[in-house]
Amino acid sequence: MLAVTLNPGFVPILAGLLVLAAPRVARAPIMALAALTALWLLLDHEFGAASAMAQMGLPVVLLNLDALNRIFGIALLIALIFVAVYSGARRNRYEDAAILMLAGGAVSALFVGDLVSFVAAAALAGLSAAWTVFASPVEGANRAGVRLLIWHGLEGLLFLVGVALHITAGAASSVFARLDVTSMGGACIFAALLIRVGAPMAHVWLKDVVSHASAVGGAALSVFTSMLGVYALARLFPAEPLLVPIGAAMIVIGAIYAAAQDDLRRAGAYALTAQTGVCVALIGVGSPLALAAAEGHAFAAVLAFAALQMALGAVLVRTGDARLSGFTGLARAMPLTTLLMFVGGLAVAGAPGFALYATQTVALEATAQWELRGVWLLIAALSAMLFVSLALRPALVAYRVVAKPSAFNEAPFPMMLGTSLATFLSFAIGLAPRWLYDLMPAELAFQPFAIDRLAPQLEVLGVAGLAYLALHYTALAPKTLPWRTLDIDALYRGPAASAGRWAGVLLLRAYGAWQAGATRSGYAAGRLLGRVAKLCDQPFAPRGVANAAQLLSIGAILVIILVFR
Amino acid sequence: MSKAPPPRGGIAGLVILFCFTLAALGLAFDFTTRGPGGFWVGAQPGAGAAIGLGAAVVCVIAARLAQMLFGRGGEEGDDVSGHP
Repeated sequence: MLAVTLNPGFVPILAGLLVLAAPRVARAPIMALAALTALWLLLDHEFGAASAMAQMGLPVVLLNLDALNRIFGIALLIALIFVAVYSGARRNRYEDAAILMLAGGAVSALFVGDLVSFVAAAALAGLSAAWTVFASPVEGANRAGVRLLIWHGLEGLLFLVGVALHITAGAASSVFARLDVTSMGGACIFAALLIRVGAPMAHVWLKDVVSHASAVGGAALSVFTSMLGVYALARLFPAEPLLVPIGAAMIVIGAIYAAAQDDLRRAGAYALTAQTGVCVALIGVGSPLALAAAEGHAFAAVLAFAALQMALGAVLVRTGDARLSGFTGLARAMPLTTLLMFVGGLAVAGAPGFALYATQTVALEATAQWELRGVWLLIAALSAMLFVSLALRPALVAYRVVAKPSAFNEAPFPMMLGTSLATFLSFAIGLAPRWLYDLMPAELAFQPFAIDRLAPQLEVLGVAGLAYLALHYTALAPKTLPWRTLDIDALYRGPAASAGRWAGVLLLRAYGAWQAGATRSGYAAGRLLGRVAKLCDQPFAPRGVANAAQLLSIGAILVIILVFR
Repeated sequence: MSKAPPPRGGIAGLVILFCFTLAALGLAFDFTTRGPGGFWVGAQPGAGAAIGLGAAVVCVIAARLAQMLFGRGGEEGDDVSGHP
C-alpha cells in the first residue's frame, strides 16, 4: 500500500531532514540517492491515481501519475542528481537541506492529484526557495530572501483564495482538472501561477534570487521554481488564449534584459524567463503539438539552465562574482569552466545538437500559422539573442589576452563534474532526441535534423554571430563595463519604498499626536473630575454649594425610597 | 619611456570562423534544398539570416538603451541598495 501512495517528492523532503544531521561527506551522496530513489519510485509506477483519502470532506490524492507530470518529474529529479554532485564542493548543511526541501516540494506538487495538496506542496517549495536564498553567503541575500517570501506569500494567498472559491462548487471540484480563468477562483489560481512562472511585472523575483543565491543555490533555484508553474499552467489552463501574449511578453523582456546585463547569473535568469515564456505561449496555443513542445521545451530548459548556472556558479566561487566586466582573461585561469560556460551558452540558445534545439524546432512547427507569426518570429529570434548574450559575449571577453594573466585557479572537481554531466545530458538528448519525444504526452514523429529545419537555425545563429562581431569590432556594441540595469523592481524597492517609508513616518507622527492629545485630554478630564469630587467631599463645610447639593441628594434619595417602597 | 603595445589575439578569429561556418552552411542548405514556400515571408529561404541579423542589432540596441535609460554604474550587486 505504501508503494502505491508514496509520492516521489516525499523522498527528497525526508532526505532534507536527514542531511541536517548528516556529516559533510554523506550529504552529497544522500542528495543523489534521494533523487535516484524518487526517480525509481516514479518510473516503477503505472499511470493512474492512487486511492484518495478524505480530509474535512475533501479528497486528498497524494499520487496521480500521468505522462504530463512524468516528463517534468524526470527532468527535476535528474537535475537534482547533478545539483547533488555539484554541491559536493562546499559545506553548508542548511543549504543542502533547503535544496532538498525545494526539490521535494516541487516534485511533490507535480504528482499530487488535488488542488489543496498542490497548494501545500507549492508553498513548501516556495518557503524552501527562500531558505535556499537565506543560506547563501552572497551579499544582500537576506534581503533578496525576504523579497522572495513576499512574492511567495502573495502567490500563496492567491492560491488559497482561488482554491477556496473553487471548491465552493463541491468537494469533487478540488481534484486537479482544467479550470476556467473567467471564474473568480480560476482567475486567482491563474494569477498565482503567473507569479510562479515569472510573467511580466512578476518576472523580477527570479533574477533577484538567482543573482543573490550561492553557486549551488542559483542552479537549484533556476531548476525547481518556475518550471512548476509551467507544469501547473499546462495542467490547469491548456489552450488559454491569454497565455500567448503573456508568453510573448516574457520572451521579449527576458531576451532584452539578458542582452543588457553585466551580471551573467542575472542574464541567465532573464534567459530562463524568456525560455519559460516560450513554454507559456505554447501552452496558450494549446494544440497537441504545441502542448508537447511546451513540455519538451521545459524539460530541455531545465537541463540547459542547470548547466549554465552551474558553470557561472563555479566562476562565482573562484572570483567572487560572475560579472562580464570581470571576465577578462578568465580563460587562462579557468579554462575548463570557461569552455563549459560557452557550451552552456550554446545549450540555452538552442544551438543544433543540444536538447533545446530539438524542442525549439517542435515549437516552431507548432506556431507556424499565420495568426501566430509574431510568436514564431520571437521564438526564432530568441535563440540568436541568447547566443549573442550568453555564448558570444562571455567568450569574447574571457578569451581576451591580458598583459598579466591570472594564475591558474580552476573550479573544484565536483563543480566541474556536475556541470559537465548536465551539459553532456543536454548534448546527448540534443543528438538523439527520440528518447525525449517518447516521453512527451503526445505521440510525436518528428525529425529535428531534417535539412529544412536545421539550415534556418544554423543561418540564424551564424549570421547573428557575424553581425554581433561586426558591431563589436566597430565599437558599436556597448563596452563591457561594471554596471547594473534597473528593472521594474527598482520602482517598488526605490521610490515606492521611499514613499511607503514616508507614509509610515507620517502615520506614526499622526498616531503619536493623537495619542498625546488623548493623554492630555484624559489628564484634564481627570483633574476636572478630581476638583468636582473634592468640592463634593466636604461634609462639614459650614456653607457652600457642595453642602447644599449633598443635602439635596440625600433628600431626593429619601423621597424616592418613601414613594416607591 | 615607450608604452607597451596593447595585447592582441584572443578568440576572435576562431569565433569568426565558427559563425561564418554556421552561416555559410545554413545559407547554402537553405537556398539549395528548400524551395520557396512557408506560411509567411519569415519562413522563406534566407529569412533566417534576416532574423539573425535583426536579433544581433536588437541585442546591441537593447544593451545601449538599457545602459542609457536604466543603467547605473558601480560594482555592488544590488539594484537599489538600502531598500528591502
